[in-house]
Amino acid sequence: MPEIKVTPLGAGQDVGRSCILVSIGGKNIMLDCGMHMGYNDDRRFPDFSYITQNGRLTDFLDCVIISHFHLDHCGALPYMSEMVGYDGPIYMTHPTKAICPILLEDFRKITVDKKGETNFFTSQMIKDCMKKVIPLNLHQTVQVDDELEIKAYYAGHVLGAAMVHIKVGSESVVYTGDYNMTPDRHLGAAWIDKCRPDILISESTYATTIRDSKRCRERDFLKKVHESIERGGKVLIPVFALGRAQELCILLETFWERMNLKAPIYFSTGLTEKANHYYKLFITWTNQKIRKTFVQRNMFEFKHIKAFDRSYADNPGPMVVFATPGMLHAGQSLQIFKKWAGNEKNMVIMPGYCVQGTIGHKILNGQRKLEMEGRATLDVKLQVEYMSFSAHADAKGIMQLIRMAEPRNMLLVHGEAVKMEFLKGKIEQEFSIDCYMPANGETTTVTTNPSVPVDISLNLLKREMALGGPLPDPKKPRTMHGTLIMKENSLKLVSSEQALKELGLNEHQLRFTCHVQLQDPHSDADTLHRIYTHLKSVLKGYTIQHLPDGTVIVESIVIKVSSSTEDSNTKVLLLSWSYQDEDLGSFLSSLLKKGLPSGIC
Amino acid sequence: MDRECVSLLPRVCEVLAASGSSLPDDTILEKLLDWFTALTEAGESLLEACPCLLEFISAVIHDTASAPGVLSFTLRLIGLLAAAEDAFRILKESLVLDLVFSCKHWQELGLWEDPCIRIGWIQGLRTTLQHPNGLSFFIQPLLQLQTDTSLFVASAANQMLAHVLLFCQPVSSVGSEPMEINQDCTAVVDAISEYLKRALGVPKGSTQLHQCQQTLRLLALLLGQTKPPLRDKLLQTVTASLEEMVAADCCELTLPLMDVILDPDCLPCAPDLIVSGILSLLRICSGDSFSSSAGCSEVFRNVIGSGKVQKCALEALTAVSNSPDDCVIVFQVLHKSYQALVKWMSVSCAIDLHNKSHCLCLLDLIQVVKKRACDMRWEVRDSTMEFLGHLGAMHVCQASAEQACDASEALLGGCCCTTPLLREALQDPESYVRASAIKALAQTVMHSWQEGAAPTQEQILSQDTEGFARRAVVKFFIAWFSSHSSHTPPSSPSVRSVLSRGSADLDWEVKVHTLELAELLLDKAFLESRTQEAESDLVEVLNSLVEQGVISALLSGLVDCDRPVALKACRLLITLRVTVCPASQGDPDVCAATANAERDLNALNATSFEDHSEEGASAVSHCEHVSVCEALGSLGLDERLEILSRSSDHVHNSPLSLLQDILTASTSHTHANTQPGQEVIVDCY
Repeated sequence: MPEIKVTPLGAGQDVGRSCILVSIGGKNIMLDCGMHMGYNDDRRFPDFSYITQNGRLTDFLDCVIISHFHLDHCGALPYMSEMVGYDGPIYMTHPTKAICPILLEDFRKITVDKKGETNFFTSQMIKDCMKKVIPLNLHQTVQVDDELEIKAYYAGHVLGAAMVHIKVGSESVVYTGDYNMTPDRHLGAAWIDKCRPDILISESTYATTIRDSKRCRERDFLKKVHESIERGGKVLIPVFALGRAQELCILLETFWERMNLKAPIYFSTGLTEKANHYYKLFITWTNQKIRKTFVQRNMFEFKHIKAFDRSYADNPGPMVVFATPGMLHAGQSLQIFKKWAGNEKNMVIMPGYCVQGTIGHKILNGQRKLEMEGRATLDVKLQVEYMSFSAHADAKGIMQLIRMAEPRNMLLVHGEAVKMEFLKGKIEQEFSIDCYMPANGETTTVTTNPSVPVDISLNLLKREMALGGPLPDPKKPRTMHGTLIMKENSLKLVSSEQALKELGLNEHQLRFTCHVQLQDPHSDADTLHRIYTHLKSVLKGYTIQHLPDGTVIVESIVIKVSSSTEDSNTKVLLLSWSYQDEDLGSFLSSLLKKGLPSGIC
Repeated sequence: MDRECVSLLPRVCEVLAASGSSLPDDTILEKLLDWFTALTEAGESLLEACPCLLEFISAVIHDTASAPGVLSFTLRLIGLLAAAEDAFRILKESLVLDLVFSCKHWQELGLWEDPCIRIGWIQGLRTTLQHPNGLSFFIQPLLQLQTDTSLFVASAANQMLAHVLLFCQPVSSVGSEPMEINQDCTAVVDAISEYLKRALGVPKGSTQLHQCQQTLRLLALLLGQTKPPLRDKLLQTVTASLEEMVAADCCELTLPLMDVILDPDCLPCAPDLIVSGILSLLRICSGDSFSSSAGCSEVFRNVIGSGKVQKCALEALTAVSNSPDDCVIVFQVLHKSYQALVKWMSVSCAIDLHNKSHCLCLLDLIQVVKKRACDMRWEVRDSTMEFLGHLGAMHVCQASAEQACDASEALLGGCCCTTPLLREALQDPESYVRASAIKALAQTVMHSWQEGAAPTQEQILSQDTEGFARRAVVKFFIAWFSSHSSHTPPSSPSVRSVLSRGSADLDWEVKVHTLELAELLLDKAFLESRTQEAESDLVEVLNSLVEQGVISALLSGLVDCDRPVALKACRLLITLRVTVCPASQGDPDVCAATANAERDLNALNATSFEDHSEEGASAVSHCEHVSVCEALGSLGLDERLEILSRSSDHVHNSPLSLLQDILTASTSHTHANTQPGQEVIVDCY
């Protein structure tokens, strides 16, 4: 039986770096190639030596597909392609291809800045890697090779995020990447065809949660910023150059406009210009509301948000500053934090995840005294807030997607084991399908029952119909006889005559012959007659003839009798039949081997 | 071990033992182990330094409610401890080893199913095997784990077997002295050989296939690391099976078999044969070559125009010309062709412009480059620019005239052809292309197009929104200035403007490159003054450096928030100090002699530090008039250098910080205050 195998190298029962291997119809596909930000060594990348030693990834993988630009889904790509070595195709949507290198570049700069690391990919490697990327359009089927095809669907989550349908022959897998089933301020909801894949590989970040709407979280955010500004405080929002930053900029921009606020908003990095450019360029990927208002005003052209200069940090009065990097571990955001930390009127809002070993992580855990360089300590008096804006499908959303796609099997990744277990139970109960949740490094094997489409010639169908019987009905399988022709990747069932004609072949007759020895003390002619009589009595309803040339014929079977040279009582019967009468021929030979009953004359 | 860490460890152990699954970050256990490993490697006895670890181990392994993650961590910790023979003995006596390294124990608890237990188990075991104690005792369970359902477990089992076997290698790693093989070891070698023999063969069914794949991986690992006597023995054991497997041509085994059979360092035949083969293949691809043999025509039809074949061929060509280099089919073919061309031109040196066929080739090349320079895809345009840059950087000697000139000049007719292309590319909408064009310009037109390019470059530096292009501009100036052979620095206000723009850039790499430029100017200035040996010259040099904005760039760099910038500036200022104030503690004569420079430096000091005031700077800014040496001395450069040389996260990524984080996280968890801890963990970035 054909099988589909799924092995997570990352995101198996965790929310670390996503990297999932799928083997389907002899093709090997890597879904996402993410990085774990919590490590400073090679552990941040998936360990590709599990695929092959000596780094011959190109020989093994048929393609790599990246679902979206978050680093836990694409961060290891330049490492894999340029440092381990992979030259095959890499697929991602247009916006992902445009934005991905910005994020990679941003992260490279932070990493190299932090550690002076040498074992990390360079700008040139990011560029060379991006040159290997083939952009995908939504709903367009892309033929990776003769057998493997992929198709991208809208996933919400972030700009350019896609779910992907992978198909080889009649087998198929859908990988969701990260997705969101409810539209938000700038993106629409995920959608997919009723494509009935063999396996639906879904993220399960919020497997057990029904989340309050993102709108509430946004209101909360605005309220906090507003309060702080009102009391004359300064608000620091550490961000990565792209993604969350743009979302929050839109939020603040519209709020400032509506409330007619005057406090300045600054953005500390030049990278965003390019980011904003892409958000403008890929307006079709945003939600309907943004697209509609685009004609009057582009949401990504900010009136209130200005470029930051480091001297502004000392300016009196309230202000909001977006600064990189996002976890307060180096650079501008850290420098501003140090300046502002001592004043309780100020506030820092962490809009994303912080890894252990960063100041962001420490203050989120409530540490108020931070050790600084040279044995100095920093008293953290400013207000610390955490806001999650991540846009993942919640339990309801995941169930909704299953109803949409109608998969035969379900496989959960990108979530915590305990929560997955709960959702697995729910899915198996509600949809009566198997649900898997492999750990990293463990392979889930799903046996498929692929239906092989075969064309049937009209003549053959007509002939079957003529024989009587019900009309063809797809829900009621039935047996048909014919000749199966495999020609140019298609299968066709035709009558044998037609097959001969189409293939330009002649029909050959195949006859089987055998000898049967018989003890019968009569003349040859008598023995033959006794055989004739015997068969007449056994085979009712068959045409049996005794011909004058000394043969008995039953249908196509010919029987002749001769005496043995040594012993005239031993008769040798020669039986010969065509292959169509194989059953009858074998029956006769075994019947005659038993001898003739004595009562026959 | 740090005293503070020792004092925190017992509480951390308590927290971990009681943590269940609610750890604040999935990396902390790994990081703890890293720290313990580092301590062990530094020769410290962990058990001696932290006796609390023993209590921790016993608490965790006897508590049925321990989280699998913590158990896994504990198994690895036990292994780490047991790597030392005395700790091994203690653990053995306390029956810990027998308990935790028995698979049965975990099976009975129903935990063996969890792959993270098995991973911890085997990794712990692996670290334990640093001494011959009980090597053979562990062999059988290890062999069973070869075909574990978890890739990670199987791979670790694999590596451990290899480790064990290498341990038994009958030749010492130092010389060729045969080691005495003790009875234990021969038994181990035999057991493994026997296993290999049994496990290899043409697989029937998927379980056997899996086993074969794993065994081949093991074999590849072993053959790569073992030395002759043992390797020969292994090869003898498996050759027959390998031959059988190769003959069976099972596609799932091709890759692991290749790993075993192919030695990546050796080519199957002579390079020139390969090259001529590849060239004919390329000729077939481009439809240039036909064979009369009828059987071939089918093959030709498939191969002509095939991007994949061309790509592979070019790749092979690049590889054979002995350079491990990188490379969606169309782009890559082009990319590869460019690379191969560059490689081959640098290898086959003579280009004869009088040779008619060479000239025709060159015309073709010019056409291709022109066409590709305006391709729709940035990937193609960029590779073309990179190609021009590579050509520019490469010197070929023309066979006709024995003079060296750059390859683009020889091949593409130099400035008249390439320069307009490159200039056009400076306006490219894609920053990668702009940057490659600038880089190519820096290399190509060095000899004939200098001052003219500067204004355009400066404009890019001040206006381009992308770091790539701006970085390339500063590098352009570096290349230009460093190639400048005259004694007077390029007489242009552009130096000052590049330095001031570059050091105010948003991209720290632009700033670092700007400092490299400053370094260049510094070196030049002092090299020149040293040849003259006069104090008045030192004043002049300092004055000119102030004039050019070098000093200002250094000072603004020193207080930059990006560490590499500050580090570079700090180093340069130290160099400056060493040069200007030779006996750093004060030779007042030298200082007094540089009065002019002092004034400017002080003025600059004052303005620079007002802009971005930092501690230490204020001392300088309030003084009206101090000597250069005093000013440099007051910056605390040596202390700064020490801090800046360390990574910017060294405080918060330290073991102490890790222990503190575990403790605070646990209190914030138990108090369940305002922190929505769960969300912090699961949020993506």
